[in-house]
Amino acid sequence: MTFFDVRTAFLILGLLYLLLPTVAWIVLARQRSLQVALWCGGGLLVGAGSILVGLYNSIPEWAYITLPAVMFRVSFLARIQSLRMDLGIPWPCPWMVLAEMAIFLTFTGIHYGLQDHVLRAQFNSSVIAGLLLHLAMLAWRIGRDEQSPSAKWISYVYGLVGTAMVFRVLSLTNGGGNSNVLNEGFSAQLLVLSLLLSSVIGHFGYVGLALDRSMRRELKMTADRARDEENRRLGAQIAQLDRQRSLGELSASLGHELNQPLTAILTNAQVAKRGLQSGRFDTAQHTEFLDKIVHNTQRASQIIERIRSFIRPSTSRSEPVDLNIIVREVAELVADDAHRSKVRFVFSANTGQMLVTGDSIQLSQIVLNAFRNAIEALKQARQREIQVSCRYSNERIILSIRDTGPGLTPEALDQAGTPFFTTKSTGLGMGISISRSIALQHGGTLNLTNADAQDGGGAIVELNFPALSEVNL
Amino acid sequence: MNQSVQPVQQQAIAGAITTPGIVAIVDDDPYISCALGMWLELYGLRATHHTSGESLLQAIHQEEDRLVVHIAVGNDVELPLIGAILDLNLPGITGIELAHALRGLAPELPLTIITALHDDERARYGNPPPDICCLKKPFDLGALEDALFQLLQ
Repeated sequence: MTFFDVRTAFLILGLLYLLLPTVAWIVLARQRSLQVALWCGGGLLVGAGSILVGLYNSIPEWAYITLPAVMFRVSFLARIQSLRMDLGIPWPCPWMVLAEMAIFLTFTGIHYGLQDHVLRAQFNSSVIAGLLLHLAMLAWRIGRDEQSPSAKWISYVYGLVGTAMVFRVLSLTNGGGNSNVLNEGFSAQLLVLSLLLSSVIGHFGYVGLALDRSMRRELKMTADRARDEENRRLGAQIAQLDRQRSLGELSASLGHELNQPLTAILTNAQVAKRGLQSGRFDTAQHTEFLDKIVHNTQRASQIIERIRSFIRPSTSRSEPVDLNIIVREVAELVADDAHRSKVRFVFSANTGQMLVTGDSIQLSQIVLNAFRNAIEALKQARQREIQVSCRYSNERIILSIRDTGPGLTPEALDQAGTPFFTTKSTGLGMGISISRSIALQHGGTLNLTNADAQDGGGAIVELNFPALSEVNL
Repeated sequence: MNQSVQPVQQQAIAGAITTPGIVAIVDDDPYISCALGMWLELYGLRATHHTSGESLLQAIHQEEDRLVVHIAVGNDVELPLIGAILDLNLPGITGIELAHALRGLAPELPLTIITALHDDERARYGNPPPDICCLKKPFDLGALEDALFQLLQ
């Protein structure tokens, strides 16, 4: 029973398996990966192998029996590996090479040693059937996991080829038959037909699968981007709220601070006025009053400038920022608070600039939170110091803010940074978690520890940022 | 322990009070302290400046029924304390604690507290002695004159 000439079918099959993987490779220009390369490369090997089989008797025996057998096995192994990589369960390459070598040795042993061509064909067909059915199983898993009809079609068609291959093994066993696939009857025709189907569906299916995936990936990326954007926006809003809250709490002390120069201005002006009326003071003394008024006006405007620069609604900036300057500025911002709580700042001497890249206001916010926490912690302490040091180490800048307070309890150490956890009676407990997220955004870290008890104890906030690369310290 | 004495000028000006005594100004802001010193000078009053309550308490002692201040600048002199202007927020003891301490030593001593704090914040520092006037910075000199000179006279 012959429907068509198997040799011609193999040649056509070969051409299709050369053409279609090439087309797939071209179509998938934007999706190319090792997996796609393995799939298309595997296809090309099947094509070349099929043509060699079709050239039966026109070329040396090894070129139409041994070589195509190797090519088929390797090609299906490549495709299996391609799908296994997609599934995240690749086989180790040395393992596959060894297996192929063992199969090759057995194959040549049976062919040249035993000269048993039927057994050789049965053996090879069994191995390939196994590979094909495994390939079908993998494709089916992908189809199930990704809900991809394309992958399921690949699974069906290779399942069909695998079944045809099993059928061939069985017919070889039953009929004794001919070891040459071209001279076999129905089973060979079934096989070549299923292979022809696989050439078409295998590649169209694969292109479909790859395009599905890239579309899903793009959708996911767009969704992720939108979410990131939203998170960033929310983060900025929370940070802004936190800043406003800090400022609200600082406003009393800032108001107090601002009242000092205003008092000096008013008093000097009124004394000068009274002096003019009574003729009591001379010109030099009046000049002195005016100088003091000018000086205190500048002092007041500096205080206002400090507040203003802190509440600028910030879209994140990225510029060189000197942490040493930030630390000093923020220390001034809380100076009044610290003064009232009798807390002293101790800056350890360090040289030069400590430049990082980032947003100066956000970085100030971290330092402000740390200082305010420290001042709070020092309320009951005997020695009230905030020790600040900034150092450069291994392309990182490490800013350490230590207080001489009681330190953090183990529970607080564990929980600090969890939003809404707070040991303070006031405050939202967002400070550390906001600080930490700002640090992360700057490619840095924030660590909370306690100093050694023998070293005096106290909490340490350690910030670690990448140093600005252009700066040589 | 900043202490200095305004140059003593005894010329009277219109409405001036000429009392042989000295007014203590306790404020850690030198600009305010200095301006108040000049203001007292307008009225022929001398001022002694202290930046903390502890510093003032160390410089005074009781002599018969009045307080005298020891002035360690130039020739050591001792002058009767005739009034005090106290900042509330001081390093060390607060202006309110200082006011209580001075009241304890001299119940009749005219005292005025000046502060940049609002009333609700001031409450945290406790209550000043009952008859003491608290002026909110920045204050009008007229109000300070009313508060202090009423008592001085």
